Amino acid sequence: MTLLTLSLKDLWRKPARSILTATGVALASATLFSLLSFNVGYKQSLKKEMADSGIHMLVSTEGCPMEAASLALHGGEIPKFLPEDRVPLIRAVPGVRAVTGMLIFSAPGENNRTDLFYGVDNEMLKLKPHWRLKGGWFKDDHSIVLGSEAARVEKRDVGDKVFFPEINAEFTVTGVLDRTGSEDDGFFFIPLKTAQTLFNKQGKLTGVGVNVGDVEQIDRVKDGIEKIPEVYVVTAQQMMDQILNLVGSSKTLMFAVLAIALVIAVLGVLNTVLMSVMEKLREFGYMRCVGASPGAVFRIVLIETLTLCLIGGWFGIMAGMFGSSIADTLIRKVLPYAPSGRMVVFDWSTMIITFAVTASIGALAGLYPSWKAAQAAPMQAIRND
Amino acid sequence: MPVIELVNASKTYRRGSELITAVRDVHMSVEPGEFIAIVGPSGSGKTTLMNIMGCVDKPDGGIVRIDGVETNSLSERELTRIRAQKIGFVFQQFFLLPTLTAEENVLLPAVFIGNGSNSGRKHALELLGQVGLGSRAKHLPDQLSGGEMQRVAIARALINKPKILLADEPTGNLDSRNAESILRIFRDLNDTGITMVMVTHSPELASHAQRVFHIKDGTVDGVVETATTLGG
Repeated sequence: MTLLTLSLKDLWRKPARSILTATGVALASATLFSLLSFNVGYKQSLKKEMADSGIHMLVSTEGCPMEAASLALHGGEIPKFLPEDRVPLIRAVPGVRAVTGMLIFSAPGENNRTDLFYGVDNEMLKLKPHWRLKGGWFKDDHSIVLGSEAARVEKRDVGDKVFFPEINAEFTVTGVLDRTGSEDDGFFFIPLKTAQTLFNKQGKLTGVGVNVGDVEQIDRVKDGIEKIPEVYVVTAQQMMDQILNLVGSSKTLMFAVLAIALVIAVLGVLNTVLMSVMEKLREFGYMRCVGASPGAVFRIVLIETLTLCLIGGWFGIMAGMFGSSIADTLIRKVLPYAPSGRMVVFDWSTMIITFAVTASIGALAGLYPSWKAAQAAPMQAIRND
Repeated sequence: MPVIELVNASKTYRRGSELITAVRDVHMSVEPGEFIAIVGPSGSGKTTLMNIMGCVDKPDGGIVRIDGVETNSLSERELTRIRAQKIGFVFQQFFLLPTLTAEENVLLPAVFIGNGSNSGRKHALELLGQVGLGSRAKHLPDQLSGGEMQRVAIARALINKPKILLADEPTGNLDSRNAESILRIFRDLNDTGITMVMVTHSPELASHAQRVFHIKDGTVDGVVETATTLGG
């Protein structure tokens, strides 16, 4: 038997109390783990989404990077249009590898759904080299390529016809995208000219997606494009920085709430362990009587506190892992911008940090009660006359 | 050489603004293998005297020697070592840890001196056998009677092979039948050479000892050799 065994066995003296205390720590630990995982996952997801879009820059008439990102990635609508004659000017800028004009419209579909139509030209394929198509690209003006999710919802495959009553148009499915894990999965891609006709925006574009040959030259290419009149250029990095800044405020709030949760956890553990120590002061006095040093008594209480916190920490991490989809859904509701991929991503470093923090909670909360226990005098064990 | 020696030992406590002399100029010696009792009413100072003998407290005046070592100037660490190695304690309240088995409770003082492993366990089981509880080694305290718990406490007091056993009202929470069995154990232990010091307020219990020190108002009021000593 060792001091460690002694401490561990003592946890079961009041099992309900130990369980409740560990649960408090577990809640704080689950929150910490989820937030740290979100911190890792959000940036990763956003970066991947940006990379998958193939768009290094977005040229539009709207200069707000948030609106630009929303437009580029999620198919948001902006009620301003770029003249199509800007496209060859943009293409001519040195360093530009590919450009694609886009006309994006939404229309109310079945079952309160909003259908997003992406009018694009053949250059789109150069921006999306990672796309895998079942079937092929547009064959004529009545062709349509469906994202994987759009195809599933519409129950359509290559060769099928699809009619959209909201725009009174029928198309033949020439291709279905393999799942990309991005917003592309939910879009309907139609020829740019067809979109311009259907939505009565001939010669107009919502924006132009630009892919550069060498990402190191992004700033130079941007400067070149900005010389064209009445255009506004937003780089993918600007979009990402702006989104991260906006999300930063939400994250600050979430971490503030987390800090409060951690303080409450420390105080909860401190209160419980101190109460336990005060109940056992005569017992500690007895231990001192029979040869326990103050250091040994200190270690017994501290080990007990640390064990309680580490058990709580472990369960908190498990809860964080198994409840990640719930955390993902909840976080998505409060964020101004949420990438389509998973935002709560597990990482060994996140787990280690969570454990380290819960151990610190234990150490901090256990210091005073352990000291108090170590001060128990042997005389306390002896009957007072 | 006496195993316990007090020379003009005194102890004063402060209670609020009042100074209370709990023990005053006590002079006593206990030879190895003796069985003595310290008797007195509540407030007479017998607990304070036991604290001083057990190196739980230091006197303010006089000299205390335990097994020939003067303890007045020892540090708390040194006193802890003396308590661990030379003195066993038996209290009225048993102080068994509820989450440890009888065997583990007996082993507890050995853990504090780094002897909690297999050889310690073996010795713990032997001691439990000696007090008649060999078959109850794996039982928790709430599965034992009062008498059995006190026997576990006695076994625990012996785990580090002390020379002295200090018992503070050891039968205070027991019925007469169990009290008698505890006293029998004490006599058997004393026969093996362990020095017994029993503090009690009961003259009847004290009569089981060889010498009885009567304490009153912090001083030794009288020392009586009992029939036990006299071979009665």
